Amino acid sequence: MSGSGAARRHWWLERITSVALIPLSVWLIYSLGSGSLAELAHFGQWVGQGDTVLWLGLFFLASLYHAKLGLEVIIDDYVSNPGWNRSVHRLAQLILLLSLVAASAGLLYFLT
Amino acid sequence: MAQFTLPANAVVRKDGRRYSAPSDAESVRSFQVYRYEPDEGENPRLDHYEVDLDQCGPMILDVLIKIKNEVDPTLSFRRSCREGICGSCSMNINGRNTLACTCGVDQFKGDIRIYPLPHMPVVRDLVTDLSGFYRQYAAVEPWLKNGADEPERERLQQKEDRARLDGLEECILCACCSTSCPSYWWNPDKYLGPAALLQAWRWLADSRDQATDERLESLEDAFKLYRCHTIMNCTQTCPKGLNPARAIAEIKKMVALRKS
Repeated sequence: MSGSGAARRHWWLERITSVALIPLSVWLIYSLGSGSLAELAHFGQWVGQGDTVLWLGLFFLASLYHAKLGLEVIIDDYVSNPGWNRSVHRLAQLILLLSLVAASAGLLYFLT
Repeated sequence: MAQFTLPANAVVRKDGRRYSAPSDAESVRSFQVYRYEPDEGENPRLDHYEVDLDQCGPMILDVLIKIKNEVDPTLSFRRSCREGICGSCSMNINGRNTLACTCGVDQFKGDIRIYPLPHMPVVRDLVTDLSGFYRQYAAVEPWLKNGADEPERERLQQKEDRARLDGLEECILCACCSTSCPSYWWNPDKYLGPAALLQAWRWLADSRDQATDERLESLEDAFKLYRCHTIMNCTQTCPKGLNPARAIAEIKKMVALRKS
């Protein structure tokens, strides 16, 4: 997090993603709790119907990006050594990228 | 990495010296006081003092002064005004940063533990090194910046403009807020801390000051300002009842609305 305006952008993005996650989380919890989605077949049907995949995709994007922003803050708080700081940032980005790939692959699996 | 191990001589020994109250004392309370002399090379210790409250003033500072005057003259602490104005006697009493002069003994039950302000270098006993804290205060340039010609009399304000400074200009720089903040503990060299940011907002909120852009430009930094994670320890502990967390939020809002 460096450069002119970077800190302010980071602050804005934290708030935008957290506000976006409120309705998305409510929708997801309501959807998962209202049907018989515990069975894999029903879950696949649910993902494939209407615009569910769009909202699920938005949920994954918002939550993972929010997690990225939060992890950046935590790393900058606690890892003061510049070398370690860069390494841990890269590791966190890699983990979040893999999580995004896994979420996308999961959605594609149920859609096809 | 962050340091997860304690530095040398950091562990506080509980088996310090004991000073008993006179045998005829009736209202005895026990005080455990942090003692540290860096030059001795030994770990800090907790000394136990029994004090007869019938022969002592009602405040924690009265107790410390009685101990120093009558029991143990080696005890070191700062004090001056004895009425919550100077901020000198800030310390950690039973786990909370506050002023010893405005903190009554009767607020607590059982033994009372008295430590220096947390996470600050200890000069001796309850005296901490506040040099960094004062540097941060200086960094926000806490004075009026107005490019207009020097007026012949004081610069006037509307009553409502002056009212915006209420709750800001009462800060006595005791450092209770900054030293209660975990973010300040982890990054004391880069984060300005609640006290300095409260003062930064005090000048941003001043209708006579014309350096708003310059001040915000200086504050807009991931560490100087945005290390505040709204933990609110600062507001909870402030012995003057001020709200540094709100001041920091106001600065963040001003920065956000300035360019967005």
